[in-house]
Amino acid sequence: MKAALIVAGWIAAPVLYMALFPDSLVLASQILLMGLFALSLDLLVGYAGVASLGHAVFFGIGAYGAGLLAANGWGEPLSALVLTMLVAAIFALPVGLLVVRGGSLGRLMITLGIATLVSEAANRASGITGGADGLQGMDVWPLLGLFSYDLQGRTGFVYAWIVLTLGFLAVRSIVASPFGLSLQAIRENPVRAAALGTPVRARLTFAFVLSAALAGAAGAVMAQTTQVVALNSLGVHLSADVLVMLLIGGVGRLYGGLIGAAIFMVVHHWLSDLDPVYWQIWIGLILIGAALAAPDGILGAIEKLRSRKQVAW
Amino acid sequence: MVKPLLQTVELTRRFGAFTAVDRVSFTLPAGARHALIGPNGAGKTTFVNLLSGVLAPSSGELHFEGHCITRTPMHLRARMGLSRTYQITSLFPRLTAREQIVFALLERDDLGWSWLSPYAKRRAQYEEAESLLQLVRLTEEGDIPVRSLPYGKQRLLEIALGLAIHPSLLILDEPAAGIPSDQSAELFEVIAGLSRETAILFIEHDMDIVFRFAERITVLVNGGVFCEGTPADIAADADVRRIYLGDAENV
Repeated sequence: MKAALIVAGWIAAPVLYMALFPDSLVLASQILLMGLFALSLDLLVGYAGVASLGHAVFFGIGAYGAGLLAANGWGEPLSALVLTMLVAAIFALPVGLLVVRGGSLGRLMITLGIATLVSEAANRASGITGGADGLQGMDVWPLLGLFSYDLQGRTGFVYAWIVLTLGFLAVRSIVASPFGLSLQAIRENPVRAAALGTPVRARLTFAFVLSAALAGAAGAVMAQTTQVVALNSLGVHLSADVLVMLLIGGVGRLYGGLIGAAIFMVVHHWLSDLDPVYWQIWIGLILIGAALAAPDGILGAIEKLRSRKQVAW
Repeated sequence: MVKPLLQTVELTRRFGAFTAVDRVSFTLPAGARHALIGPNGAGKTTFVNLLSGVLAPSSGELHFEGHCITRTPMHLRARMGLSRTYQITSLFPRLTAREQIVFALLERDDLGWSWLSPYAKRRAQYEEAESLLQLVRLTEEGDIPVRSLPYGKQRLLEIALGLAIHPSLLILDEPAAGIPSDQSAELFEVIAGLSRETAILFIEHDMDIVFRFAERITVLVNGGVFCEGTPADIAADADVRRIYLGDAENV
């Protein structure tokens, strides 16, 4: 019953949204893809307990991968999506091996360092990436050869929704698997997990690779639907933003990243309209307030309210 | 001669100038019930950490079931059947008792990499987890996060986790530490009921418990083996009484 409702919700929501808000599909697509990106980080941070300040590297690899393919004659979006996910995963393997060797602060330093390195490399390699001007000249073919990208962004929205749904199902099934259980055990107590036979670093590296592939998917679809890729898609700033989105929604809860991304993006959009000069100050204040009022994110706050109610009854 | 289950040769661990474990040569047969005693700071926990792989020895050798495991990482020792519990409870706070036992069982059964089907459908492991929960009398509390369990129950779960991987050697580091004596009696009842397929090496300060459950006792003092023998030998040893049991009687 509950499952049927959730499935109905996942199908009905985009249809309703397209009917009600046909003019804001572009922003909605970006929210969906940021949600997928935050979800990929949740697998790493919320379940495996590995914090990262460089996750945008894999989003950016996805974006530049799909962008470069489309700019060089490979406009077929689905094969490009799979290919760039693979590239992100392959790049994530050595990075992951390095990251999981560190302690929690060491991991932040390593991921931060890699994000800085990669974004500077992309900046220097302007012959390939377009540098600060962004990657130009993408030609993405219609989805399945049928649906071309309209100005309203209907195709992009449905594409983003489907990829998000598939990504969500993948993460949900991964965290419910024996592998996912072992990630949670490692998050809770890596030493004891090893004492029970878990190869801790190997497991975390695999989680890192899976998470990077999903982040790459989000970046690839973002590039394919917006048809531009800029340097800010792989830097430290976006890495911090996606971590904030996840924290706002609540870590380790699957929906946290989606909710956090929606709130973060809408508030950004709304405030920068409202106060084009000082909007970043408001964002900063909101972040501080959110961290104090709901330290476990919105979903954490809701859980707390619920359990309090149960006690009262 | 039967090959020993566990053998250490001149096992040593130094921390800077301090030698915590000093050339300990120690043998444990399969199915043993062996107590490790000694005053505080004698190096008992460091010795256990060397056996389980938390620490690497400064020198010396370690053999388990005929294999040299001196440099073998902790998780592989566990896979070979060497299991331990911790003096300070070391569980998975936000997982339920059942989940963490199932996790240990899945690792033992080589399913830890499986990432496509849900763990909740692994019936064999859930049934075995249920019987382990029964063994340590935690069936009622099996489905709440263990951080909300009373400490005594956590100590019992600690043992259930150690047992879950079907060890041929289970090392118990002060299993009854921090719980009232009536509960520690219950806990040792559980331990006494364990199968002889599992050898038990335990650290314990309560001499009544040591003399009741141990078949052999090793006394560690200042990181080295002071003496070893049956409970009767140790009880009769005047030196041991002086340096260790005498203290215990005054507590």
